[in-house]
Amino acid sequence: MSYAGLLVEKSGPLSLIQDFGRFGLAHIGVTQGGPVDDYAYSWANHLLGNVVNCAAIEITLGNACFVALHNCHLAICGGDLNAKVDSEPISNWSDFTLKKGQKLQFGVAKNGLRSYLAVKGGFDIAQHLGSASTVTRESLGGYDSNGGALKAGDILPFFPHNLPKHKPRLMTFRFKPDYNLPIKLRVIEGYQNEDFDEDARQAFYSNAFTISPDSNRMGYRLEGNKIKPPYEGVLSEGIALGSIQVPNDGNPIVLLNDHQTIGGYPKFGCVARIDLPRLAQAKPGQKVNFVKGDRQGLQEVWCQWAQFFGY
Amino acid sequence: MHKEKFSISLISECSIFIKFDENISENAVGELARNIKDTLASIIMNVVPSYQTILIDYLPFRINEKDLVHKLHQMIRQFDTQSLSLVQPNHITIPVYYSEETALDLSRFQDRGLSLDALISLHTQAEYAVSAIGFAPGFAFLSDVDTQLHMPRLATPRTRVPAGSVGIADSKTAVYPSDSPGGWNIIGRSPLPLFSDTPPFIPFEVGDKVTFNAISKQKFIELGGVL
Repeated sequence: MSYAGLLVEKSGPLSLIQDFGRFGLAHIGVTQGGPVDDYAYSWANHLLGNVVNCAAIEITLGNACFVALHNCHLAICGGDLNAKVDSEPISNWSDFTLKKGQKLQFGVAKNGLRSYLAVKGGFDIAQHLGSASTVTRESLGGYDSNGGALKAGDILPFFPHNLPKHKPRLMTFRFKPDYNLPIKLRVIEGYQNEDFDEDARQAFYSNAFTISPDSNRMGYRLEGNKIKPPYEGVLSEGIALGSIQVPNDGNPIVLLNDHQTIGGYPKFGCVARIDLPRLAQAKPGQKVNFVKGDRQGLQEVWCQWAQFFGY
Repeated sequence: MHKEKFSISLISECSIFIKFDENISENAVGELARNIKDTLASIIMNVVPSYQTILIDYLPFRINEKDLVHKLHQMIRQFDTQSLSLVQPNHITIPVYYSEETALDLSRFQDRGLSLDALISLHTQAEYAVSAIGFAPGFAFLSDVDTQLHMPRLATPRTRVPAGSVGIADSKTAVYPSDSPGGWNIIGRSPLPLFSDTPPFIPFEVGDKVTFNAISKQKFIELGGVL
């Protein structure tokens, strides 16, 4: 039973409940959802001693405001959206407390795009097909169990807990990404990679792409270099997270958490899992470069990360 | 199964892709995918069969990729297409109200000289195989419609296709489980709910067989259909 809650006073353009994601149902067309920056999401839960699947809020672009209806222990990680408690700035990548009646406000994004707000013990949101993650396109999960974003007036329940006696934990700087740095994504070549011709490979690796405004949790569209696909399509096949598909217009799309489970565009490979958060925090207009990655090395790093957070 | 009939490739840190040659049946791909999912449940996040492929998302910190590839090779080689004949695919019949008011793209077929009756007859006479499920939850790609029914997707997709709509795109047919945007040629509407919130969520799996039968407007309403 939950007796405590956080009131959404202002939801901002897109605030979504996300837990680790919805797994085991891709064979019936249900996508994974979950935090597009799983690194920041995982840190937010980790700073509170939560297990990795505790539901948190993914706040995109800021302009959101929450009021504590009860005392609570929270953490924010990810994009810096100028968070303030009762007008006093608070540190990003840290935990903090709200006393009953205090107000947490997010301004505009100054580094990155999305902030993760976690509460001790997680928000108590009903699971829908095994997960609380909000996938709007599939009408699954979220506060309304119908894929809806948070809206003003929603009261997000959490389990009552005592406030910590320790000072806020701040992450050391070497773990904090700077989302404004140039983005270089490592690519694990696969799928139809070998069928792309030399000109297409050259164009893919040698020049920077620009992130299109038409980018979202399903995928990031990249413009600026036309990559000629080897053919128009293949019979639909399973899509792995981070797949780089190249439709006939030559503008690659990197698929993120809300991607369709199968698709028929030729694919150049997959962006490394540990690099996807950098892309997911990027804004339209930012530049992206690709570099060929080493699967085994990237796998090793991803495994360390996964085990540290307890995936 | 013989070794030369498939390839296994490592496509990311945590995904493995199996591709079979074109002689493999939907039933075999579906059954194999279910075997893999059941046998390796503790290390696997998702198994997605689609046409002649299977995508496996797994946890590389629970199993070495070499060991997993070895296991998959063994499972596929031991998978006996003979024993598959013992596994009968499910057969589902989907009622459809084909009519002027529900076949939103009837004119595209009429332009080719196909009447509504001819369309109904061609669409209901075939038995289809579920080749893949995706695009949206529970959206099943059924193979293949009669060549006279082959029709390219709409140049401009509809922003909203009503739930239950039965469509054709190229050689495939499908039912939209919920309201969604879509570019398939709509030829009728089924009153059956095809996606629910409780397991097994949808009435079919890859490899199952599907037929359609034509129903009247009255029957469509009786079965809960909405116009």
